[in-house]
Amino acid sequence: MKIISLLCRSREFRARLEENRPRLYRVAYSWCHNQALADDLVQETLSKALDKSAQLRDLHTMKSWLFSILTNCWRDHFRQHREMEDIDELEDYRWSHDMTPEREHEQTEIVLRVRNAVAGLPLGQRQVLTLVDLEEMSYAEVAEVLGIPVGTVMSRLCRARRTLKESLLALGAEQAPRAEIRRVK
Amino acid sequence: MKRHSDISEEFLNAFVDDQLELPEQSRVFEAVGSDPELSRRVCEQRGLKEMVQHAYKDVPVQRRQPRKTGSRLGLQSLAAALVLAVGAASGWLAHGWTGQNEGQPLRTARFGDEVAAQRKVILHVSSSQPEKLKAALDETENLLSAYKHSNRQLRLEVIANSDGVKLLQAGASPYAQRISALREQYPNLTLLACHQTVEKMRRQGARVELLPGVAEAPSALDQVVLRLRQGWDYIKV
Repeated sequence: MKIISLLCRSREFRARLEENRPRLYRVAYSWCHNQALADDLVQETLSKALDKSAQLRDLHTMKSWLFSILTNCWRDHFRQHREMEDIDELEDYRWSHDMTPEREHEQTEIVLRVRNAVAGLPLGQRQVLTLVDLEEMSYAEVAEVLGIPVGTVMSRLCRARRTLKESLLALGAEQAPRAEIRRVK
Repeated sequence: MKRHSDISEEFLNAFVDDQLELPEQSRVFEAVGSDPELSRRVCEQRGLKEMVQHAYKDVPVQRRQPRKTGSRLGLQSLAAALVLAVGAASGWLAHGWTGQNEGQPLRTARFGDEVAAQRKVILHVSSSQPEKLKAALDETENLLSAYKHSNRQLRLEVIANSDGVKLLQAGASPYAQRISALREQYPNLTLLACHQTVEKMRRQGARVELLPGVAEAPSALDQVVLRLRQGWDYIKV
């Protein structure tokens, strides 16, 4: 009986893990703006989660737990490589996504500008902002996931939003103009 | 009454992120009602948040070769990768994912005059996460049915803004039929979508059609403030 219940838990557990993949990917992507790296980080996260499955007592806290693991994977990744602030990857990104139909052009420009602005934030601020905005985590959850005090969460969030506001708020009010795409390469 | 200059950026952020305790939250609503500058700041902050959410709604996904042995997740990751790729192409990522109810309690706040014989409630939805949409509708139905059964008067207004508009959007809402049935059964139910949100969606090129019987309020924030001042109860999902 015990073995069966263990198996059942394991199957349910794996299913729940997989359900979280899109969320993890979205946040990982918002941290690095690089599809391959984001995918690797998420894969790594889910592998580690499987290994450590015994650690998780309460399925309800799975989300925070997974994002903590993601944060650690990120940290490990950059301990090995010096942290690149993604400038090159950003350019790659821009070019791999420019073939959009004209009528979607305006919308894509806004999206690109927001992502660029987010990518330009210091890592600590970027992580806080995306966890709050994209995952709608409470400040306490973010503090736990990133291993920082709640006060730090709030001040980083403040600074992040202030910076974004300066770069972006004009966008919301006006129609996005037809942008010229600079050739950088 | 707090003047807008008394409300710091951090406090404002906490308000927009639903991180305030209920009494503080009520105070901010009250302040917003009498201070147009504060109202503007709130809308601006909310707008910024929505812009960030919008920018990551459809993240580009790289199709990966299925991992060989060594990956614990094997077939599941292949299936997941395919679903992710197909889903991304059709914007499925935007529609969220199944997830259990986080067990977050609904938060209520009330200030102003004492409750009259007729109870009035405004229920506010601003997220499109499936568990929140479901919670909104369940709570709506529970309230309506409970009051009907006990023969008490209730006026219930559901207002959706930001991502929550999806609940009331034709072609997007997972609950079109259920909502239509509720409307038929309960004439004391009003459904409102935030005009600001709808306009923003249209400017971004989306075709927005609301479900039959859904009206638009000029601004969700103003509507909530108005109802709170009128002594309505406020439930945020």
